[in-house]
Amino acid sequence: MFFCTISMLSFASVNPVKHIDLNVKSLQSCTVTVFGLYQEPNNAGFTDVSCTKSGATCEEATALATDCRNQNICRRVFANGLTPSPHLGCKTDVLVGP
Amino acid sequence: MRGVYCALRLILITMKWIHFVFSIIILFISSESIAQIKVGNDSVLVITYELTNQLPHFKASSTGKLLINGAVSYYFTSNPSLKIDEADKIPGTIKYADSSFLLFNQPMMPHYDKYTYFSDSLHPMQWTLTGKKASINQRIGYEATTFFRGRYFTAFYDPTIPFNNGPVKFGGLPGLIIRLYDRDKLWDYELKSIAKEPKVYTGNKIKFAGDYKMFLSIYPEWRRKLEEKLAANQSVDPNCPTCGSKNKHYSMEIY
Repeated sequence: MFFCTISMLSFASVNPVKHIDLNVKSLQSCTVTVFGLYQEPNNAGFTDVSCTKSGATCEEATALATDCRNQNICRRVFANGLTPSPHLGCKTDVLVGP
Repeated sequence: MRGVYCALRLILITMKWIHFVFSIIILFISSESIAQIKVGNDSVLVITYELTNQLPHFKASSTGKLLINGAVSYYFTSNPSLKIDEADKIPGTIKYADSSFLLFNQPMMPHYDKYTYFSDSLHPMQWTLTGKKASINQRIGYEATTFFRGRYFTAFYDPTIPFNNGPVKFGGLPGLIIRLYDRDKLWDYELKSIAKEPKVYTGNKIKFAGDYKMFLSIYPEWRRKLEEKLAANQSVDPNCPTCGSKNKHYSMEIY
């Protein structure tokens, strides 16, 4: 089971040069947190698998954070000897056990 | 005089019969609620709980199911959004009401696979009945508290539901647990429904790995190593000090 919400924080940074009329390109960034919770098979433990990532755009940051959260789930699923859902996009080199 | 005596005797006998008939009716009515949840050999009782996990920054909900099949009960956590093919078929806890033990699932890869179970005492917690009552989902719940393996829990049970059972390892109260939560509300179970369903699930493969003492000798070290390795595997963005993943693990029992 995982639960997912997305919170976004974006900010712009402008070069603070005064009295000079320059065409300043703003540098924009976006930070996204994708929340997730993984229930352990014994039903008596769970893990917060949330991930925060930044990107040049919010779409990019969301994609990175979602993949990070999914890979966190993948590692836990493999550590419990279970087969993850294909939609998680688990990478084959993720951890199987300690 | 004899006629009066006969009449009185007749009235007395009639009253006894009325009393007998009413007693039978009252007994039938009072046992009706219990009779409704009795199940036959071809069906099981499915008790559904809603589980809420409250974390500091978000909360999640899922569904847990307690399946009672005669003296054996199975507790599952539904996992519909994750769709792990076999997870729904492997119960986290199996209780044997006619014994003094239960089994709980704890895989530890690579040596202990998904069918690994360890045993524990049946209902291994000591309850204190407080006498307090609360209305929970249109039922009256009676409060009981316990300090179980590092956490404080509060349960509400319904004595009109004659099963001393509950979610995960919990039970041993004079009625079904209809709500259970720990002091931090990391786990909060609430009864949603009770239904009779056809018997479909007939058990799963079990690899018995040992008793609770054996579990304690293996699991904490395995968990420590797993968390250490997982933390090392997580990527850290040097341009974003707040980025990354927390991956904090919460265990109901503190080892």
